[in-house]
Amino acid sequence: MNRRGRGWLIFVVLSTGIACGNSSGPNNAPETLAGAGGGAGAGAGAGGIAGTLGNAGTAGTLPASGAGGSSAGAGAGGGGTAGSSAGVGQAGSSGASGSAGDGAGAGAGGVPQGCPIAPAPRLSSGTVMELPIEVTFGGAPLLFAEANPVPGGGMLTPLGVRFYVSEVALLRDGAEPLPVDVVTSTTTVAPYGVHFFNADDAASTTLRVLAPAGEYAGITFLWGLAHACNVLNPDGNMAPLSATSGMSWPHTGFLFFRYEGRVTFPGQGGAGEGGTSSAGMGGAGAGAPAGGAGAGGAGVAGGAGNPSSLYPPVIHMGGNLVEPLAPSIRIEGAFSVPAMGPVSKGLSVALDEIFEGALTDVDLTGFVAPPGPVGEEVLLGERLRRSMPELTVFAFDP
Amino acid sequence: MRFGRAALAFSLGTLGGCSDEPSPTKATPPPSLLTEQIPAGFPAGSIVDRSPSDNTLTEERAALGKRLFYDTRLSRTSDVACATCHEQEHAFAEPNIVSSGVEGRTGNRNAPALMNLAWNESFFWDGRTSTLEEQAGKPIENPDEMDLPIDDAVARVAEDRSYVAAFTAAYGEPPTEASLRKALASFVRTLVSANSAYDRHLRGDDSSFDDAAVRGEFVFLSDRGGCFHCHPAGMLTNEGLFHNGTYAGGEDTGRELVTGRSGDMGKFKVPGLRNIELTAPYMHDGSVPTLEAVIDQYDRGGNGDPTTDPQIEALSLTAEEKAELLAFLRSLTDLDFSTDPRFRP
Repeated sequence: MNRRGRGWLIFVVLSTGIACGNSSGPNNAPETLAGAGGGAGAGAGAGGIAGTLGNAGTAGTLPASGAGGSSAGAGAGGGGTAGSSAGVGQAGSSGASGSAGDGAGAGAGGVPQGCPIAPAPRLSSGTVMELPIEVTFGGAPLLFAEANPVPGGGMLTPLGVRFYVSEVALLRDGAEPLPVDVVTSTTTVAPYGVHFFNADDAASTTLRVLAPAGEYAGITFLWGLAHACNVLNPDGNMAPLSATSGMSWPHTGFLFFRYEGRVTFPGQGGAGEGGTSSAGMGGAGAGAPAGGAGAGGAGVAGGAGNPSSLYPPVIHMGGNLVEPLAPSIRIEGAFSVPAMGPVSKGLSVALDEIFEGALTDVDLTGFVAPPGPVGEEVLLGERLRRSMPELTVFAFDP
Repeated sequence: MRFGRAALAFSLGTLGGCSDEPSPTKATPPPSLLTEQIPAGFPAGSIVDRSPSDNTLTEERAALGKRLFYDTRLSRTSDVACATCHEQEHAFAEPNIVSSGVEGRTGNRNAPALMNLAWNESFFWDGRTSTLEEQAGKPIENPDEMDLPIDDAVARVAEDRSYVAAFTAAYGEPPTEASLRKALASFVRTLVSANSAYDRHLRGDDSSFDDAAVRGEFVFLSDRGGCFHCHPAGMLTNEGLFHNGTYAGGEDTGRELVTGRSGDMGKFKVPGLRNIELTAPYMHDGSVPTLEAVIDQYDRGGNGDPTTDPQIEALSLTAEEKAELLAFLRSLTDLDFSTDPRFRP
């Protein structure tokens, strides 16, 4: 029996009013890392399961610490549910940055009707445009599986950075965006029309599209999968939509983005405790919606005095089987594609922005989570997804 | 080493009896090692589909590979075969903590089970090879395993006329290093295990997938246990490399030895879990003796190494949940595979 045919119940986390955490202290402590923490988050580093979920804890925005308080109605201008923001990102003020909205496909050719492994080419010819992708942290290239310095004397070691890019379109002045094919290094259309970035695989770190010669004003794409691809069962799929991508969820489509990493600071590092930034993370929680008010999100709870809490150890952003949720990214910046010859335009991915989004206090109303206890990493991912309109995760290289 | 002796006896018997073998026209053809089956939950493609274009899987190649797999002549001392450390009754793993090679030398890793590798994309506990063909020669040359230069292995095989004939039939030429590797890879590619209670459950037959296994599957596939993060349904491995909390210091730092990156310390490849009940002891170093101990290790969040993956956290499972997880893991046992006569010498 197909596991998706087993009738797993999909439920809305917030509607259940999970409130088993112990966040209680009014202890927002912005601009400092030494706030007196409430109890929220205690034990989260050892659990990360239902019992650690906090109740409407919040840390506001970076660089706050501590926990507790209320964030009812904090929507952060966020994405809401699919369709509410039409999927078209807002132009960045700098012209070289972008923001995102929800809604698969909008602005990028519309939602595809299916997700064939070998999509029909959208264009019969063009120039292969390479977009090497570089993850950055603190303004510098992120060294994968190596120690990267963080403010305060700590070190961040990323252990996993993976995401999908699909539904790429080129922005044109005075015309609709032009959908283009994602292609492989051999210039054939990529399986499912999807690019899979894995920081641990150098061959995956360049996005390639087939672009007609011309002048362009930027690019749009989905950070994740279009709905038709997201609802595919990974069983029987080829890469990159098979389980070996490490991106499949048991019941809810695919992860769009996943991150794992460790942060250590001097004086930390007790075995199994401060050695990873999971220590002090907690309070990922949800207050029951009251009278229609937005449910409070949660943030860095129990991170009192613990700078590790600014760097979540695990963030998993994904969709569900119900609606298109992949953030649509829009990056503005002029470039030319010649009729022949190589063309390259670097893309950067700011891990700092990702952390900020994951820790932003946003309304999680309507979030459809996997069955069973909901891990913090899932809630952090959903906060990131909903915060995308306020973030500049992607940008062209200068 | 009991299997090694058996393999040696078989090898000698074969050597002594080659000229007496019945002619192919009179013999009953052996059961086919090939199958077009794509098990439920597996990635696309049969074992034939997934064989590389320069080593398309054929009956001749798989049969040749099987013979090589059980042949102790591929070790310097002619008493260790691939099968010495990969015993069928243990899903082609072995019950020793670490393997013994020539002259009783021991390595530092537990022999991995061999099954469903046609659908894998990396091999060895540290994922250092990306094809079965590349993998196949390394244990032969490893000083702690078979300790025989691959050229010497080829020369030994080439001295046997029956091997020369088999290689010529399979690859159109006498034995070479490449064809030796390809033949071994071809046999390993045929080792498909997909008839456990869980497999039948995936195919819609729940008659042997009891309630405890159902509940255990839920713990496994939800964030209660979180096992699915590395062992997604279907193949039950995402083939990732993670520090799962087993490594707690020592020279064998796993993936770091391949990449040289500090963040890879303690990372080892996530194994598939079919037949896990048959493959004790567990983990890369064979340090965990039982499935119950495996569950306990994950339940406490590993062994406390500060470089453990942050996804490994204490679970505080109840005794009932542990029992259910165990029931699920036992539902992965496929005795049809571990007793399949087609895979015997």
